[in-house]
Amino acid sequence: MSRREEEFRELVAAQADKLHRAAYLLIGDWHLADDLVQETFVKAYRHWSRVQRADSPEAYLRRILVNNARNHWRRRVVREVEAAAHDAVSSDATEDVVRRMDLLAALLTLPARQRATVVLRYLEGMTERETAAVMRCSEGTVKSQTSRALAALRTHLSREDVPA
Amino acid sequence: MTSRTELELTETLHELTDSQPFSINAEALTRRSRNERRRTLGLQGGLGLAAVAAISFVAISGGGNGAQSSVAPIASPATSSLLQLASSISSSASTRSGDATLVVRQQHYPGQATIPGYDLYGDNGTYYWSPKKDGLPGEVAANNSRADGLFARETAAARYAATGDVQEARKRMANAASPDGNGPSATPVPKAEVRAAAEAKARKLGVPYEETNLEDNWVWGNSYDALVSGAGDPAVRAGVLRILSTVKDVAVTNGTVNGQSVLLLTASGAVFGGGYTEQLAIDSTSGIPVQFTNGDGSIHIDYTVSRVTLADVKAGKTGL
Repeated sequence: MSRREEEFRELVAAQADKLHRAAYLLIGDWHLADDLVQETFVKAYRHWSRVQRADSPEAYLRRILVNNARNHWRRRVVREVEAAAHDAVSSDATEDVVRRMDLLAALLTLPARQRATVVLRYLEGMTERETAAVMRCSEGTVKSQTSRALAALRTHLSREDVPA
Repeated sequence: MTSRTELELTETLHELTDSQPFSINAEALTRRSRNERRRTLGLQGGLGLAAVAAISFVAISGGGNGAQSSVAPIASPATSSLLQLASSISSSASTRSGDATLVVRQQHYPGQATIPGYDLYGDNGTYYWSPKKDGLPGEVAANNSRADGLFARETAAARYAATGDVQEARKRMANAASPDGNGPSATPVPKAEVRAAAEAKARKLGVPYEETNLEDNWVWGNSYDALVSGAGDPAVRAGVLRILSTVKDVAVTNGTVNGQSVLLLTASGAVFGGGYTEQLAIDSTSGIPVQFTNGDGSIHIDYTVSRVTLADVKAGKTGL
């Protein structure tokens, strides 16, 4: 096994699960998320020198993931992702499950950039600066995208909201 | 300041994703990544190579599902010499000494110091690796096998080929590195615009544009892995040579490397597409890998193969 492969395996072991969760929220389908994560790592391996040079290999991986997800979005119509989210709710689901799936459906209808911002900020726990680096945009754009996304998602969360 | 909405959103997103455990086959993913990178390098590297006036085109053969075949004519010189050596290896095979094969890699990249690698393949399926020559004893002592099925399907396909149906073995070899076992057909074909751009670039450079025969590409790449990882097993070496005899664009010539008599196996044409080539030098009597060289000769890897025992390696008695 070459050194590249050894380092690559370590990165896969450390990041695969986190990427998979993010991929699911970006794409709304666990099977597609599997594919998305694999595609992300294949591209990372192909451009390994860039991964090594990156200030944050983790952030570089997420940039690839978000870009790949956009390609998936282009191939799918919103109706399909909405249906996927609603289909996941079984008839005997609890109120909490219904609420979560409603949120997922709402998330999946957000514009691509807003959705990616939400995933990076609130699932991955990235700061505005880190999110901006992944999204290749300004921190101001991250703020505005976040604000719009929160406004859209707020109704699907608890009604006991305290304004920021 | 984090709002209640943001806290609740974070909590809900985690709840949404906590329910789905995810495990990834790192070995299969590494193999897929390596193979796809090879194909990419094949296209990119080939576009920069020697100019050839004519634009040639070789159709993609898809997977092992009976699309186009590139099986070589039985009577070709390359096929004959590979089969001849395979037969010789099989007939002269005797009881192997030791219980493991040590492969020392010296990797030479442009502008860099030589990068060594020490691979130890146990006959019991274990695999130990160290970038330093004094690292292997510790790896064996700690039972730190990194095998996880590494190259197991490749070497199994080669062993099957030694005495079995070579076309079936070829199919198994092509599919060996596929994460889902579906083989090359599982890999998406390049998008039309990517292909058009590659064709235009090839025309501009005056080099041939050839698409890759994916099955041949995977057969070559996986056979290479099998030959190196199974270098200590005559059945694997013989089987690999039989499988490679089915690849039309693998040429075989005689040569020498560091004074050693070798057969030079050169893969080109549809194996990679775009004019890229790779060359593998194997010992002319044993079939053991000696040296790998990439298309423009800028990268080469020297192999030194020996049979050892795991106990001796563990005790530091292998002269490393």
